[in-house]
This record gives sequence, C-alpha cells and structure tokens, in this order.
Amino acid sequence: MSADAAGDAGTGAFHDRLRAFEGKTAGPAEVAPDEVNQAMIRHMCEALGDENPVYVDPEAAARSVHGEVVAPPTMLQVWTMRGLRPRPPDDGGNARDDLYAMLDDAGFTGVVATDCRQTYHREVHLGDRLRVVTTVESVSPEKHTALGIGHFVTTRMSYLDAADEPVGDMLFRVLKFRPGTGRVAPSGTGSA
Amino acid sequence: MSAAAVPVPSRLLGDVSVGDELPELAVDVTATTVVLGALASRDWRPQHHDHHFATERNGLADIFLNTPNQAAWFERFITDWTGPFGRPGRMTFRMRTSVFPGDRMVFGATVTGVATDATGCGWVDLDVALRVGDRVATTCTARVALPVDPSDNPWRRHGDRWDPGGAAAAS
Repeated sequence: MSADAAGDAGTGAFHDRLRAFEGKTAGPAEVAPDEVNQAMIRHMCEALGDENPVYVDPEAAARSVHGEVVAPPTMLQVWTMRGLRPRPPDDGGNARDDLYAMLDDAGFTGVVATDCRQTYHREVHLGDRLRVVTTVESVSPEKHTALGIGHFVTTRMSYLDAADEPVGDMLFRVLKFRPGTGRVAPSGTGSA
Repeated sequence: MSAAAVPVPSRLLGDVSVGDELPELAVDVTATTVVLGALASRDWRPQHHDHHFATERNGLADIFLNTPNQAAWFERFITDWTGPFGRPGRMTFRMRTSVFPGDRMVFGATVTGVATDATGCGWVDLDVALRVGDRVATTCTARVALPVDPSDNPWRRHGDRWDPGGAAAAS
C-alpha cells in the first residue's frame, strides 16, 4: 500500500498528518517590507475610487480627529504581504507554507479564500512598521465542494506594531482543492 | 480656521434604526478592477492577474477578486454611508462564489443592531451582501462604530474604551 502523500490523500492518515500543523506558529513574525506609506494607500484608494480624504489628503486629515493621514483599516493585511519575494532560507521553517506544500504535493493545488474575519484594534498611521504572527488554527477533513475535493485550512494572523502592541487580527480560511474534481462548472453564474 | 473647515458627523447613532437599508453600491467589475485591487493590496498570486493560470492550473472561470480587495470594497461601501466618523470594528465575510471580470457586483446592507456598549461606544451591526445578478457571492456581517452625539468621535477611543470584538456586554 502506498504511503506517499498522494496515495493516502483522503484517508484519515493524511488528515492526521495535516492536523499535526494545528496550533503551530508559521515561523517568526514577518515584518512589513515598508512602513505604512502614502503611496500604497493612494494606490489602494484609487483602485477602488475611495474618496475618504483622511486617507489621502494631509490637510483634511489634519483637521480630522486623526490629525494626520491614516490607512484604511482593511489594508491591515496589505502591509506584510510577501508579494513574490521568496521566504528567507534561514527562517527556521514556516508551518503554513509547509502545510500548503503538503497539500500541493497531494494534488490539492487549487486555492480559493472562503472566509475572513478582521478586527481593528487601533488606527494605522504613516510610518507604522507592522509585523504579523501567523498560526495554523485548523485543517478540515476532506470535503466535497462545488469547486472540487479539498481541505479547508484556517489560519490566524496577529498584526503588531513596533512596540508589539496589537493593531488588528484576522482569521482566514482557504479551500485547497484538486482542480477538475468539482461537482459543477467553477464559473458560478458569473463571467458570461 | 473657519468653523466650516471643521468636519461634523454626517450620521449619528440615533439616526439609525434596526431594519434600515443602506443605499446600494453597484460596480461593473473588469479585469482592471481585479488586477489593480490585487496589485495595490500586494496580493500577487497569479490567480488574481493571470487568466491562463486561473483557468488552466486552478480550473476556474477567470481571474477573480482577491480577499483584501473584497474587504476594501466592503469598507468603502459601509463608510460611504457612515461618513468619515464611522469606525469599522470588525468585519466577517464568507466568499461563497468568486467575483469575475464581467460581473456587476451590487452591495446592499440591512441594519440588524443598534446599541451602546458598556464603554459608551455606539455600535451598528450590519448584514451586508455582495450580489452578482441573483447570486449572493459574498455575505458579510460588519460592526461599525458611530458617534452617539455631535461631540463624540469613535476614532478618539483607545485601550479599554475601544472594544471592536464586542467583549464588553452590549446594552
């Protein structure tokens, strides 16, 4: 009997291996590559057409309660996003990335986000340098979903400032699925 | 500085009642909507900008709106209604189906709760939906603070006086 990941995917043994990641922190805190800055805020606001002046107009922001420009709260996770930069080779391992890699190797290469809960503990100012600590919260048993056969992975992100004070937190759930195993066409009713 | 330059709250907690509906926001989603939002949010995974990757590797219909972009659209929809004194506390959303280029997304919301918590902070609870045609793509519950009177501003709250998770018992 095959003992490799593809061979036992879908069995309790594979789920047990996935669940071994639960409660593990995904490596050291990831520090934002840049301080919270006006250019990135402006790009986000212009992409959406958000005209709230406290995000982009220093004079209006100075007259507001903030006294200065602040970032939209929902940009919480943007500051620490890795983009396409590879993980540092000496960071001691990353439970979330290793878990995703185990799922990829077993054929669950598709990924869609399904659930997100963000809580905003304080406003974010220009010059803040945020960091995020990520923990693997849970991995579901194998599920048959409209998109395909897969596992739901839930992670918790705690965003901290330079003084390690909480700025916000996020629960984030994705479905890692096997492309082509869905019950229905993945188009939904959209994108005619 | 003239008095007119000092902003005043455009919506107070007392102006809001359970059952109120927010004005809808409709957006025609294009590839530009998806790609600009993904790039501006540093969400550079290819399923949000590379059509061939999305369809051929992921087996999806097209590139699709990424999570931080959806969060930002919900925030814009809600704070367009509250005005700049409205302060988001928590947003919980479930993406049931993806939003693709060519979709017309329509945001709508109903007020489900109006309360003042133990610290005196005024809170509005909203049930929000992002619809595409007759399909509900994303559901969202949002908790946003509003001023309780013209001199109040939820953004001045810090520490124990700001409880976005609702741990303090709401009255």
